[in-house]
Amino acid sequence: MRGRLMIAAGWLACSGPLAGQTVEGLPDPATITVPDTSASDPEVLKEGYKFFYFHNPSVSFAEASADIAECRSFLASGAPPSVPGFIPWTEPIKRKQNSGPGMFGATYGLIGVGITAGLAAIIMPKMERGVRNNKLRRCMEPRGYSRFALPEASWKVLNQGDEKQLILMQARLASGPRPVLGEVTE
Amino acid sequence: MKRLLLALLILLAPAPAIAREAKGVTALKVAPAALDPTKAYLLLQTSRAKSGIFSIEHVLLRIPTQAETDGYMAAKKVAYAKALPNLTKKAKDGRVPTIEEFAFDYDGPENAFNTKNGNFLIDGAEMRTLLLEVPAGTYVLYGTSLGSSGLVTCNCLGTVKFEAKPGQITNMGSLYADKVHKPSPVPHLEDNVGPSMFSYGFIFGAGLVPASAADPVPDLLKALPVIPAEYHAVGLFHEPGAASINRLAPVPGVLGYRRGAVIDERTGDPVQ
Repeated sequence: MRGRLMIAAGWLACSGPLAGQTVEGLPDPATITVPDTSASDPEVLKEGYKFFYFHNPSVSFAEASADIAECRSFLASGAPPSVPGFIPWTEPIKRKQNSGPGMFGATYGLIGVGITAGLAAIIMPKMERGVRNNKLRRCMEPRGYSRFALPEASWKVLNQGDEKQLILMQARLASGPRPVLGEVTE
Repeated sequence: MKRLLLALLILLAPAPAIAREAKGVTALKVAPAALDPTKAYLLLQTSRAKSGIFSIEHVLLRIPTQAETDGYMAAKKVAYAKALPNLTKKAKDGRVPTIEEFAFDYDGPENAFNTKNGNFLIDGAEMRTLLLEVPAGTYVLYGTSLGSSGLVTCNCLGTVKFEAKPGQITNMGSLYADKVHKPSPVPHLEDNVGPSMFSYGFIFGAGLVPASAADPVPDLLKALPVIPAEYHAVGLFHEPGAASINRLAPVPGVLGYRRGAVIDERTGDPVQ
């Protein structure tokens, strides 16, 4: 675990000096601004399976940062592999950072051939969000994280923009006080 | 909207109808009288779950040689450079696909293939027995496919590998796979990962029960050298082109998990 924490902290710190750094290069979580996560609105609760953040009552901010960075690395985009075909593999395994904005533009570009461009523009972002959410869930939930609903606008703040800042915001929420409302169970 | 998204799943899934054999891989439907000393052989039993009319099958990856990898990367760079003007012209919002995102048809050696349930040595109601002639090397249980081509779910969050030596049959034991968003009738899976995981794509899971030296060998193969596979844990790896990510279910004595970490149960240590 310590190795992973060092890697995550080192990677996060690569973006430059951050105010109030404390643990191995990570900033003081109190200095990180996070969006509104109130989930008292029934509509927010209803949409929680789409718009959520993770929380784990037993992790530190540093552990949450490491977990989120590692799991978000699985969102890196790429072309579907050819099977049968050739897939590169080198050991020791080197994992990538997530830097791409999404996968469908490259991976499933042909979908636009089968449906109108207008319909694709509406559906594909939803598909992409769902696929990315599923990948994050499969990676995070075995680590003890639960999901909590939040407003769509806040979800966008937590998931769009500078990758390192997203991780810090999500880690602060994930390791903060357990939310009273809005646990997503479906 | 959910129905529309589910319909799109079918469109998004890799085309399963066009299924050719991988170069260097032959599924034997008749037991050989003798083994080719230059080839390796994989014996496995596999579950028969389907989604619609398509079998849910395993994807194996042979760890390539450095020369194979170098050859592939060189060819891909050339193809990407050639395609770049057109990719740039077509780029939406000015974002040009990276070389990692570039779909590339490679005509060189192949190291990844599906275990085709239809090409069996011995039929069975629950399990089929496959015998594959393959290049010798180290193989990774890489993921799961729908139909006999493509990849849907990678075992990116933990899996196993084993060595297949030339001139002998490596008995992989029994492999299982199915959809795992809800409880599956197929045993040895980590299923029920959540029904809403099915809303935007398939998520498949895989399980393994290794063979032991005490396990009976099919009568057809009793005159041939059959050696149980020796499995070793493999840590997290990336497959950005997979539609979903999962992990091979724990294999007692071989593969375990502690939170997100893959544990080599032979040593008790995390796999880096």
